[in-house]
Amino acid sequence: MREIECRASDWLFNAGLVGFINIVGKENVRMEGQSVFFDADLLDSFEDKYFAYFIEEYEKTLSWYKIVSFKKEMDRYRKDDFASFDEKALEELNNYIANVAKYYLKSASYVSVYPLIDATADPVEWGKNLAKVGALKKKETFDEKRADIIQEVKQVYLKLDQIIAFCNSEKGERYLAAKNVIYTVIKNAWNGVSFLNPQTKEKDTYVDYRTNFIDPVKEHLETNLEKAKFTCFTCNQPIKNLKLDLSFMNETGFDTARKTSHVWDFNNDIAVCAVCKFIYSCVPAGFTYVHNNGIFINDSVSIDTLHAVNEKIRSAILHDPAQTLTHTSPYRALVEAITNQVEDKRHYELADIQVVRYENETYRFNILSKRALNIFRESKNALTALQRCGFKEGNVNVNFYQETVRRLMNNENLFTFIHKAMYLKVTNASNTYYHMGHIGSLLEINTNFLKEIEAMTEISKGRIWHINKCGNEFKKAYPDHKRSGFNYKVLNALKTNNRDAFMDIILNSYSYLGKTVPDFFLESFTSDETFKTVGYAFMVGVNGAIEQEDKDKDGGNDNEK
Amino acid sequence: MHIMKAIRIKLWQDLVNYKKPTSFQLKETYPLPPYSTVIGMVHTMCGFTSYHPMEISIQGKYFSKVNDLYTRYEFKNGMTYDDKRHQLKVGDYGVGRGIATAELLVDVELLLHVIPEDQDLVETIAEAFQTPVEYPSLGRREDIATIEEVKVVSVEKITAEEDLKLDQNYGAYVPISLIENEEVYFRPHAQSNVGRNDMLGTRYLLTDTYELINRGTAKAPKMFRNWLKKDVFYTTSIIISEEDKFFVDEDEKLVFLDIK
Repeated sequence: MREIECRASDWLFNAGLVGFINIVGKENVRMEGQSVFFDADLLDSFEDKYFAYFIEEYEKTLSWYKIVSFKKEMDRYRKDDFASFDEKALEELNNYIANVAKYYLKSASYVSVYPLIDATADPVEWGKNLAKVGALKKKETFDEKRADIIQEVKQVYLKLDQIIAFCNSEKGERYLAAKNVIYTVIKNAWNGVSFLNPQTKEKDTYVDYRTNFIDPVKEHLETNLEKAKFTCFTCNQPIKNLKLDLSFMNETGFDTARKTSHVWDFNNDIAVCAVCKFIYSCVPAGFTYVHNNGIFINDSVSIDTLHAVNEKIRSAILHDPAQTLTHTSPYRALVEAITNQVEDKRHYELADIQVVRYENETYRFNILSKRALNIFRESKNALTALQRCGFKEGNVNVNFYQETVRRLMNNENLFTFIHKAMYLKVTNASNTYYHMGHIGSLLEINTNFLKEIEAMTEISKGRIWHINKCGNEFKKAYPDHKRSGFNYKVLNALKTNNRDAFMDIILNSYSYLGKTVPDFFLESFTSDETFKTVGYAFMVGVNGAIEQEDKDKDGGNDNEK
Repeated sequence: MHIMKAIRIKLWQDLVNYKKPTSFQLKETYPLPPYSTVIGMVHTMCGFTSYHPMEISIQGKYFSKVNDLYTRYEFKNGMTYDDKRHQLKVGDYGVGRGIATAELLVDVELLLHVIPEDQDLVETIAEAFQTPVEYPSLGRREDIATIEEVKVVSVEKITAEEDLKLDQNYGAYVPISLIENEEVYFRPHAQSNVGRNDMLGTRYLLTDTYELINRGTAKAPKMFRNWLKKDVFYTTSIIISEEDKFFVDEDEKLVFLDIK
C-alpha cells in the first residue's frame, strides 16, 4: 500500500481534487490543510466509482432516465387495469414513444454500446417496430374507441417492457447512463482523449478510462524516478518525459508538438505527471453543471473548506426539490450560498474568493469582492423578482438574473443593459419576457451598485419611486400617439449622456401639457450617474410600471437602513 | 532591526492582463501582477541583463474586469506550411491564426515596493522609473503603465502605534509565511459582517525568479526555466494590530516582505 499526496494548486487542479473526493467519498481520504492523502488501493476499479458518481448525481437529467422512468407510469395504469387511462395519458404515451423511446434507441452513442449489454438483443429494431397508438379518425372521440385503444396500449406496453428492462438492467444502466454523462457532463471539462476521442478503438468506456488515466498512475508509481530530468508542471514532482500534457482539458492546453509558440523559447515544459493527469480527469466531478453551465468556488484555504463550499453549491443546484433546473440555477445557488450564511452572524464567508464559471464553452473568473457581496445582499428581493425575466436576441437568450449577477460580479454598471431592455420593450420587440416593473428592479439594483461604489449617494429608493410616479402621471396626460417619438428622443439623449437634449425634450413636453416640471430633473445636473438614474426612473414610469395599487410595495423607504 | 531603502512606485493602467502561466487559450489574469512580472519590469527599465536580487511587495486595486477577444497566432519554429491544416501561409512557413479570449482588468492602481538586495542600486532604479528610457509596461507588452509617483522610502520593521490596514479597496499578496507566523491578522469587515475571521482570500502560487537549466545536450541545448515560486494569499481584509511588529514604509504603507 502506498499513500499518495495531492496538494491544492490553482483552480483547475482544485476542481479535480474536489471531484476526486466526491467520487471516492470523503471518508476514504485524509484531508490535511492544503493536501489530500489517499491510498493507492483506492485506484482499483476506480472507473466504476467514477461513472457511478456522475450517474447518481445527474440521474434525473439523463436521457436514460427519461426512458426508464416511464415504467412507473405504466405500472400505475396496469395496477388499476387502465381505469384512469384517459386521452391525456394516451398523448403522453405517444409523446414518449416518438420523442423518447424511438428517438434515443437509434442514437449513435446508444447503438455503440448495445453489444456490451447484450449481444443478442437488437434495440434498434425494437425502436423501429414501435408506433404511435390509437390515432383517432375525424369525428371519432376517445371514449367511443376506448376499448380498442386500450387493447393497443396493452400491446405496446409489452414492447416497452422489453425496452425498459433492457435499459434498466444492471449492464444497461452501466453503459447507457455512462454514455449520457459523458456527453452531458464530462465533456464540459475535457475532450478528445480516452472515451471522448472520436477515433477510440475501445468500445467499453470503463476500460477506456482505466487504460488512459489509471494504468499510467500505477505505472508511474512503480517507476524509478531518481534520474528523471523533468518536473511536473502542476505538482513539481520529477517525471521522466514530457509525454503527458494538458491539451485534453477544455480551454487550457495546446498541441504541444505543433504550437510551441505558446511556451518560452519554444521549448515545451508543460507536462504533467500521471497522478496530476488523473486528478485533472476528475474536474467534471468538482464542477456542478446545469445545461452546460458550470460553477466552482475556489476557496483554497484548506481542502476541507474547498470541499464543503462546493458541496453546498452542488446540493443547492442538483438536489433542491423546490427548484427546477434552469440555466440560472448556478447563479441562484451562488447568490444564495453567499447571502444565506447566518451562523455567527457573518453573512458572506466568500469575500476575496475566486469563483469560476463555465459558460458558452469558456471559463469566466471572478474574485468575489466585498462590494459585490454587499450589493447582492441589498438587492436580494429585487434579484429574486428577475429570475424568470429575459429576452431573446437573435439566437442568444439573455436572462436578467444571470446578466445582472454577471455584471455585478464584474463591477459593471447596468445602465447599458437597462437601456437595451427598455428600448426593446418600447419598440414592441418580440421575444421579450418582462415588464417595465422588472426594469424598475434593475434600476433599483443599479442604484445599490452606484451607492456601493460611491458614485452616487443622494438618490434614495423612495425618491426613485416618486420619480416613477411622476413619469406615470406624465404618461396619463401625454397623448398616446406622441409617446413613441418621445421615448425615442429621450432614450437617445440618455444613452449619449446628453443632458441638454434631455432637458430640452422634458421642458418642451411639460410646457406642451401646461404642467409644472417636477424639480427632480434638476438633480440630473449633479452627475452622470444621477442623470441616468433619474432619466431611466422617469422612463420606467412613462412606459407604465407603477400603478397606483403597487404603492405600498416599495414606497416610503427613505429612512430604511 | 536595520532600515532598508525601497523604491516605492505608484502606477496606473487602463486595461491589463497579468497572465497565469497555465492559461494558454483563455488568458486568465491574476488580480495583481505576480512577482516575476514586476521583477522583469524593473530589470527592463534599468537595462539590467542579469538578475539583481530584489524583494518586492505588491498591493493595489482594480475597478472591474472584462473579457475581450484577441487574435491568437500559434506556430512552431520553422514549421512548414501544410494546406490541410488551418494555417496562414507565411513564405514557406505555416502559422495558425484564430481568436481567443483574454481577461482584462480595468483601471488598475498599483503600489509597488522594490527593495534591491544591493542597496547601492536604489538610486539607479529610482532614476530609471523617474526618467524611463522607453514606455514602461507591466503585464503584456502593450499594457502601458502610467507612473504616478516614484519615491525612495525607508522600510523598517516597527511596532505600529495603531492598527494598520490596507488603503480602501486595496488587495495585496501576503506571503504565506507572514500568516503562519501570525504577523498579520485577517480582518472581517466591521459594519457589514462580511467575511470570516481567518484566512480570507484566494491562495496563489506565484512565479518569482528562475534559473536557466539545460535539459538538452551541450551541442543542442534545450533551455528551460526552473521557477522558484512564492506561496501567497490574495486578500483585502487584513490588519496589523498595534503592538505587532511589521514592515512599514515611512508613510505608514504596509510592505509585505518574506524576510525575517
